[in-house]
Amino acid sequence: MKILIIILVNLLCATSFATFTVAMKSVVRNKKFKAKVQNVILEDLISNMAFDGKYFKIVIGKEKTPISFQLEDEETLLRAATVYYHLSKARRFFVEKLGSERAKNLHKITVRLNLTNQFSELGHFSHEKQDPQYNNALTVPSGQGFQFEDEVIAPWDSEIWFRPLKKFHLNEIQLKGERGYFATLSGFRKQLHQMTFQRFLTELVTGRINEGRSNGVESLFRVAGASLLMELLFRNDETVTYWFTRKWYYLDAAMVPEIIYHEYAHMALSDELELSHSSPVIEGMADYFASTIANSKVLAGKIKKYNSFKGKKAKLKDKYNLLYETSGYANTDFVFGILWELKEIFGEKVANKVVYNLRKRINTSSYIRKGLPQKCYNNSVEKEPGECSPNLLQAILDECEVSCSKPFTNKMDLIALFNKKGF
Amino acid sequence: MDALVYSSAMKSSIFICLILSFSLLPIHLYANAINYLERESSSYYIKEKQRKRLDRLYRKVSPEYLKSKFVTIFNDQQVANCGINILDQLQLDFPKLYSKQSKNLILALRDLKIVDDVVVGILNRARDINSIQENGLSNHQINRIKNKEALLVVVNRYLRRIEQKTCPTDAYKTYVQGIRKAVGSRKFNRFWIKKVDYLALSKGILTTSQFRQLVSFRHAKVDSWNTSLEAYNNTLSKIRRIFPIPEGLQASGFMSKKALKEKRSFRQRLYETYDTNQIALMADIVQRMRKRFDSPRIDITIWQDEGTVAEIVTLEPMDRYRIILKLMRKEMSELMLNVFMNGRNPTYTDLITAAHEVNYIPFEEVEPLAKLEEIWDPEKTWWEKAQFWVKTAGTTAAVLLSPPWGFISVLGVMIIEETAKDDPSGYKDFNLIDL
Repeated sequence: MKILIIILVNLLCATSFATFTVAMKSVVRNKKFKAKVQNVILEDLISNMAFDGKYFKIVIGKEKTPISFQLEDEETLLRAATVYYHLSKARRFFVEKLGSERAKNLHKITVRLNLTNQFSELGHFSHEKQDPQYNNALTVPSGQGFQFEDEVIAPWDSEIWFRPLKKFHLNEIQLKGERGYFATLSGFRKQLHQMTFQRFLTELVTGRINEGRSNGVESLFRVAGASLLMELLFRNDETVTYWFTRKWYYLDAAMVPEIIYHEYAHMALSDELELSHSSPVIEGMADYFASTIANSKVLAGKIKKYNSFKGKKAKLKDKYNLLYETSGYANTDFVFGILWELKEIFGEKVANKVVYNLRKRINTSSYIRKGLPQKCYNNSVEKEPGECSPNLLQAILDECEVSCSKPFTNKMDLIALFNKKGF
Repeated sequence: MDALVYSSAMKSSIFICLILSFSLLPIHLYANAINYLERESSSYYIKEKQRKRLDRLYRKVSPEYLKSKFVTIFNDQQVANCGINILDQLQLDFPKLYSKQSKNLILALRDLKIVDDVVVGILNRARDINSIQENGLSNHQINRIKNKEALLVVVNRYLRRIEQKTCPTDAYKTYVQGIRKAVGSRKFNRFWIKKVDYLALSKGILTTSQFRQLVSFRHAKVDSWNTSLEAYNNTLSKIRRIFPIPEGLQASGFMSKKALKEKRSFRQRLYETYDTNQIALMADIVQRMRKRFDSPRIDITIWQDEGTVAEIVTLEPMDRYRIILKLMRKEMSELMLNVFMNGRNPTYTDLITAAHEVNYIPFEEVEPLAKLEEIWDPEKTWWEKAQFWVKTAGTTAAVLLSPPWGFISVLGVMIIEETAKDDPSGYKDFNLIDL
């Protein structure tokens, strides 16, 4: 009898910790960084019927049950498999390469697909009709939930949400003045008018308008005509834009591997960096890990049918501007670019370690370069927690002091880099 | 007893005299093993092409044999302090090889770690002294020379120094200085040297071979050489005595890189331009700068009145580094006013080279510190340099060319304005300190 009990217990234990592997189609990148759909192995599943794993559970919308493998909607199945596969890859990176205890001990993350609701800190989900969201992904913090009379909102752990794709036509987006080429066109117009005017003055002074009437006046009409044509184009640039630029904007976030890595990175860094709001420094750090896991300096480049977004580039030569500190510019390439260049100074391994450890030195509200208030240097003055976290530049320099093999030499290289970046 | 005391006193005074005379001797007579390569790792002169030539040389003569001969030459102090004497000895030891491969023999000296690039540079200059045929002076021209006696005294002084085995090139420099003094700095020009040479020859003071040597020195402009081998050895010995280098310390390869717009390395430029005191002063500035970089914080204190601080402004990291560099640049400009600098205006790289030479900065910090110059003096790309000219030409062409060609020049000007870097003045307000 005793032996039977022991056997039964062992069987139970074995089955409760049993994991499954399943082969499914997923969007991946090939060696040339082109996206394609191919069979991948999904590991660490605790169910052989649904997307329910040891570390991730994929659900649709606000549901609690994981998506079944038998779902008829093939596109949702592809989304779920893509998300599960790449999240597992991201987790392995943080656990194995960075030795992240946070990633290792994280709760099982619920990943919601095709969810349009806004996040509510109190109620978990906002009402469906309140400004539904598309073409995006986000990581939401955990919540306590609440109880009010009969209304009970259960507490929830931090989750990752993927919004559905929705195509927007160019007409629905007001872009005048924000189009990059508009500044160029504006400059060209100014130059051309200047040239026309100079030419007119030159011809007037040299008397060519009066002598050889047909030559001088004809030339003048030609030049003036060019200016008029230029002005016509400039005033109707929206029409020109409509005919010569892309018309549809959309992003199926769950189908873009780098976006999946980006969201997981937020989760892995959340032991020190709260998931409270988006800031340039936090987004830049998540972009850094996303591109490192993807092994590419271009983040989330076009994947034809899923994404018309051009992607973020680590090697853009933008220089620092105060506007980059604002939340409106949180999703630019700037911080991503700075952190990416650390790889050239420290080497990949040390750079990853430095950037990962930065999370202990900064907080969600840290600036890129703004200095600290004077009281932070006064030991006798009481400070709020996190009030005196250094800015990103100082944090990188401080971390280098500890993590770099040649602190002084590397710090000089950092100074040269920061100077190049316009600091 | 008196005899004993007297004997002891005699011995002590002899001993003291020996010590004094020992210390008064020119340093090169007893500091016979100058380690030239303590602060130089790679060579400015030896690249791939030269490496192949050296390999061909080593196939003809083994490097071990060459090295043994070189060491013998440099152990003789009289020879080792004069470039011409070294070359003469090389010619004696390797007559056939020297006639065809004198340049490679000099390179081999460097490759086999006998000498450094500064010595190689001096030897190369000495090697370029050749016998020259020139148009002589007429008797009328010689007779018209004024102040002949004073000039002949200079010639005699030169000949005495040659008899005393002074290095001929060093003696020649003194010779030209003597002529300049005798003629007067205002009137002096290089033609005077030729006149004095011919005057001395006509008076029978110079032999033909001595005269020919003076002619070849004159054509090689030996008097305008930056440094002589003896002077370099003296400077190097003094520096090593004051700033000893621990054995086995690695040197930076950066010092062997080409100095900007010059045909020599940074280290060569240092020793050919500055003396011991000047090098020490320059290194001092870098040492102070280096210490400041270790500071965790720099504040600007604003005082309300004596004793009361109104405000303390703590500098951000980049402002901190900029103020350190600004302080360094201020000290660098003030250095020019220092009487020891003799009006010389050292560059930032000269300072770094000097600091490395006296081991104020380790080898791994040399390049990162040197690169800091980019912050206040960024290197312009070819396109940035060309932009000014293209824009000027484009603006003019836009007016002069008839359409549609004028539009092309307008387009060119447009491209320049789009690719030109953003005006940095817009960012300067973010920075407390600017360079």
